[in-house]
Amino acid sequence: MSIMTNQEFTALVANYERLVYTVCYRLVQDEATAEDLTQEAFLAAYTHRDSCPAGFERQWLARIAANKAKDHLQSAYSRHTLLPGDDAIPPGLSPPAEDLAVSRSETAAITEIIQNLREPYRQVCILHFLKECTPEETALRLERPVKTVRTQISRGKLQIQEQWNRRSSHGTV
Amino acid sequence: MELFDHRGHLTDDALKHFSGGGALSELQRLEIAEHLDFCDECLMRSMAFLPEEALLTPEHSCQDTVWKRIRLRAVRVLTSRYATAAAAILIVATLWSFNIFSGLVTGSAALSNTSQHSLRQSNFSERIEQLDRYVNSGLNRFNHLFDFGGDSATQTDSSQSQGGLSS
Repeated sequence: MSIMTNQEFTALVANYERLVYTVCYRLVQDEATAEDLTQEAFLAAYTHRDSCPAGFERQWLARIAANKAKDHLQSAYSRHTLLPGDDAIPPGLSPPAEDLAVSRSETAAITEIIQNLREPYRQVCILHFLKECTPEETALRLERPVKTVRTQISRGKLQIQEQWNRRSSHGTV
Repeated sequence: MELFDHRGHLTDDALKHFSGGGALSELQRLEIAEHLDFCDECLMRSMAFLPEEALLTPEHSCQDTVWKRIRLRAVRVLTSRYATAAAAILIVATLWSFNIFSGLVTGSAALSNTSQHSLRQSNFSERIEQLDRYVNSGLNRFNHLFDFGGDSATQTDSSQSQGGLSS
């Protein structure tokens, strides 16, 4: 793999600026943010220009653009969404163990909710909650990044909670 | 509209919506971005949905600004490295020029010289006190140099140097 010269990088920016901008804009749907992310994407591309696979510059840049847009959307999403975590209940205030015991019907209901989740949360939640795989094991089995799996578990948990509350309010549990 | 198929890959509908600028919620766009970030198969497929004529043109081109930012970042990295190295050298040179280290060196040398005698006569706490005095005298010189804390600090230090760790 040869090192990209500055001239080659300038040509890369000229050739793929519209592609990178389009990917960013389609994902963030804001012109100014998309322009900023385009710059960020090319800065990252310059830093990692040695890892650009020859002949796949288009895909490589599209991935960097998607990654920048993902980071932006994740921070924006997490700012206005409180995702449930494992440490949601302070240790001293957690209910006694007998109150936490889940009846068989409730277990079956939760299993059903998990199995009916939509992708990309279904496989992740099945592995994590039903087969008790760690996020790392889940990531390995699904060939997804661990960080992505962790956020998908958090969002999956939120969806399970919502569906559980809906069922409880309708008295179907 | 289903974004993902049963295998967890993006559907053609999702890619059409994405490339055509269809209405997608923030969560749906985040899910697509997360998936394109790691899935080679869907990234390749998404490129087929983004032909040259479907690409958008930014209002402000980044071709010049990218190079400006690259140069600016290079300057920042270079200056921060040199500034850190220069600051470290300056601190060491200052301490060295005022013999801050000599007390420590003499102290450790004195400890090793007297250790043969003191092994029988003095106990461990006495040696610690001795080392403490050397360290305190070194720090006192440092305090005098920069005049930290004024008289009260000097008094405290002198009392500590007399009392050592046992106070």
